[in-house]
Amino acid sequence: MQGVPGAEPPHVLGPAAAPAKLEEFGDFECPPCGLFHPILKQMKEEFGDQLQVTFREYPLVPAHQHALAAASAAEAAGLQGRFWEMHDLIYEHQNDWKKEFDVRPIFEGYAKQIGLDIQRYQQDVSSDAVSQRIFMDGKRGHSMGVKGTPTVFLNGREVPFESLAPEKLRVVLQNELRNPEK
Amino acid sequence: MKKLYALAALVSLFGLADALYLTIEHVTGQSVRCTIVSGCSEVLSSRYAVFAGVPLAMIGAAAYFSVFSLATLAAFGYRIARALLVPLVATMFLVTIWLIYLQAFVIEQFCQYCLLSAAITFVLSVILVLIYGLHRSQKSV
Repeated sequence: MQGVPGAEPPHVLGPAAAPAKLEEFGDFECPPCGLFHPILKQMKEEFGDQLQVTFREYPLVPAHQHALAAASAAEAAGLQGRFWEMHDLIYEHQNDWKKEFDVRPIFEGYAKQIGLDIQRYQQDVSSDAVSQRIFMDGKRGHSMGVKGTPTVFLNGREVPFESLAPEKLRVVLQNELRNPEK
Repeated sequence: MKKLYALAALVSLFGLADALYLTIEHVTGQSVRCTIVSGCSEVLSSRYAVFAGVPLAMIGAAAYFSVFSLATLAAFGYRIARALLVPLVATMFLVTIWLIYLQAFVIEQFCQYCLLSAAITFVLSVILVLIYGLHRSQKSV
């Protein structure tokens, strides 16, 4: 599925020439996304340069009260070239912040931890540039029929949710590499 | 009284449809995906959504099907069905209270389909209380 373009440049891990291109629409506050995070990391390690991973913001507002703040924090880190570090920290500490009333100081703590310029981060986190990126990713997701998170596309085709378990996703990726469908 | 049993059978069908929907969502894995009307994903992906390896929604579907069968038989005058209906609905009522407590205070999220099921169980309980009241008043006459 093609869909409208998302935020440019997208957050990508892995080479553009990778035969398997996986695009995830995720919400940092969504528990299944948090569970999927280590699975995807593991797949990236296993498949190396064969696999390219793209992350798209899809905060489910208002269902998840801090999802937008988390997406903004990650995007603000992205403006300083540290998206993936922030992405990992936010997911790995999901249970530490999701029930807090005010998450901003927590995300600022992560920003310090990964060595961001805090003043710039504080400006960026509520900037139009960050909002626009989240909006564009959401627009892309919507155009591709994303209804929930995590939704994963492999070379443009949606991977069924039940295939996102590590043992199943591994097989899906292996099959894709063996017989890439056009 | 016959009409009330028939009404209980009808109401239980709504519960059965709701529970079947949740069972299918659970089995296919869709229920654990987060959606814009979230809450269900948190509730249904929690450890409380499964009892002894069986999805709670499936147990709910079996319970509603039993209520439907017993209420239908009761409407046709089967006394044993009437006797069995009371403990079944009472158990469902207590389980429902427990599940609402879990959603409110443990998981801290509400799933609208689970709340619909709770409402249906409450309606069934009210119907049975009415039947009991009618039964008592008929006895005393």
